[in-house]
This record gives sequence, C-alpha cells and structure tokens, in this order.
Amino acid sequence: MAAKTNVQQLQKAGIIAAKHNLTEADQAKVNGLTDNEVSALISARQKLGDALLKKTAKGGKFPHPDSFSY
Amino acid sequence: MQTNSQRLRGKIELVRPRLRQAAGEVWHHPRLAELFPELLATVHSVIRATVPTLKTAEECARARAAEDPVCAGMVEYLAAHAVEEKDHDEWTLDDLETLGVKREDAWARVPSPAAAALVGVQYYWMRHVHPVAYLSYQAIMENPPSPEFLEQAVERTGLPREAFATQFLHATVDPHHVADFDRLVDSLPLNEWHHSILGVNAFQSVELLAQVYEDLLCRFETKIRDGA
Repeated sequence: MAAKTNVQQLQKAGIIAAKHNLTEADQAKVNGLTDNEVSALISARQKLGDALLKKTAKGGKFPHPDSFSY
Repeated sequence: MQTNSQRLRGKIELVRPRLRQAAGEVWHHPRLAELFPELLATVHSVIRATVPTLKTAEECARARAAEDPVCAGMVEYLAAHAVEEKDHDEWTLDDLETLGVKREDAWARVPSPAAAALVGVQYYWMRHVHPVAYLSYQAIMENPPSPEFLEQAVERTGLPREAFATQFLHATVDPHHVADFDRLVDSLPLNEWHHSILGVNAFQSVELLAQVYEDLLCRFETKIRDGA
C-alpha cells in the first residue's frame, strides 16, 4: 500500500477537512513538510483547511496587524 | 529552488490565517477603544522578553559557534538586533501612559498563561535543542503593521494618535528589520534538521500567539459581561 501523503495524514487527523480542496501550491507546501512538522500541526490541533480558506477573513482594504511587531 | 527564508515563510503562511483570524477579532472589535489598552498591556507582557530572549539566543549561539557554522552565522546578527530592539517595551508603556495606564499598573497585571508559554518555549528550543529555532519566533513576531490600517484604527477609536506611536514606528522600521532577517536566514547553512526545527517551532508559536489574542478577548468580554 502506498504511503500516505502529508495532506492525507492531516485529513485523517481532522486538521484539514476532507471537503476542503487546497490549492496545488498549498498542497505542495504541506506535502513538503517533515514528519515532525506534521506531528506539530496535529499536536497544535490547527484546523489547516479552515485556516487556509479564511485567508481573506476579516479586514478591509488594509490588513490588520497579526503579530506584536517587536 | 527556494531560499531558506522563503521556505520558512511558506510554512508560516500555512498557519498564519489562524493567527490573522484571532488577531482580527481583536483589531476589528466593536469596542476597540476600550480593548486597546488591554491589547497594549498584552503586547507589553510578551515584548518585555524580546531583548532578554535575543540575548539568550546570542549566548546559546556563541557557546556553540566554534563547532557549529549555523550558530557562528547567527551570533553577530543577534547581538546587533538586541540593540535595535532595546526599549521597545518601554515605548509601549509610554503609549499606555497616554491612555492613563500607569507603568506600575501594566507591570502588576498577571500575563496570560499563553503569553508565558509563547516566550517560555523559545527558551526551551534555543537552550535545549538549537538556537536556530528562535528565528521562526522572530519571523512570526516581526511582521510590520500597515500604517493605513493604523490610521483607520486611530480614527475608528477616537484615541490619541500617541497611543499608537510604537505601532506606527514598527510600521516604518520593521520592513528594514525583515530584510535584514531574511538576509541572515538565507546566509545560514541550514540542513533538513534545522528546517524541521524552524517549522515545528513556527507552528507551535503561531498557535500560542493566537491563544494570546483569544485569552485577551475572553478576559475583556468577561469583564464587560460582569460589568467590571
């Protein structure tokens, strides 16, 4: 049986919802992650599919700050 | 072929929407004028650790520099950047004072556990794994705000522009810091192990920073609900 891709592993863990179609570029980024990075995403329970689809969520013409810009 | 910095930023972009969502709930809050002092106090709770963590990263890198070319490549940059970041936490306290919050009151606040965890994990990675990990924290944190957005926030809140002074300063200065940072990361002889550490810490740090925003909002809304 072929090894699972990172996208498949993250879908199985619920980190990427199966219904979400990631762009080819995002799929390539995700599939390029190491096993440790995939584990870190699963550990953090980040809903990657939702997050990627919310790239345009909130904000108007100018983006709001998202870090503390130390 | 991607550069080191492009590879790191590509990973952060995968999870940054989570952070943008959490930060957006704060910055677009209908009561931002009341929330803003809380936001500045939260910022201060994290950035008070900037220079100390940079110095620790430098010490850890210097200790390994003779045998480790990645560490050797970081030492000078970290030392210089600690100087550039000096007093930014004090400037945030100045901004708070324009809003009537005394310095001692800002220091007396108990920071959120997420803020402590966000900073604390950096010490773990750089002291007990490898100081290169600190660079993903820096890549996440040093993301310049848009001056146009800040102007809108001043107008929307009706707060004095001086309360946003440090934010405006970062909007001007940070793009240069980002360019310097990318040059440093691209100059380092990183292997897959280093890249993996950078990615793991980036994912963890983004999640923790998102939790810092969520804690801030939760505390604020609880206070409003309880009429405090």
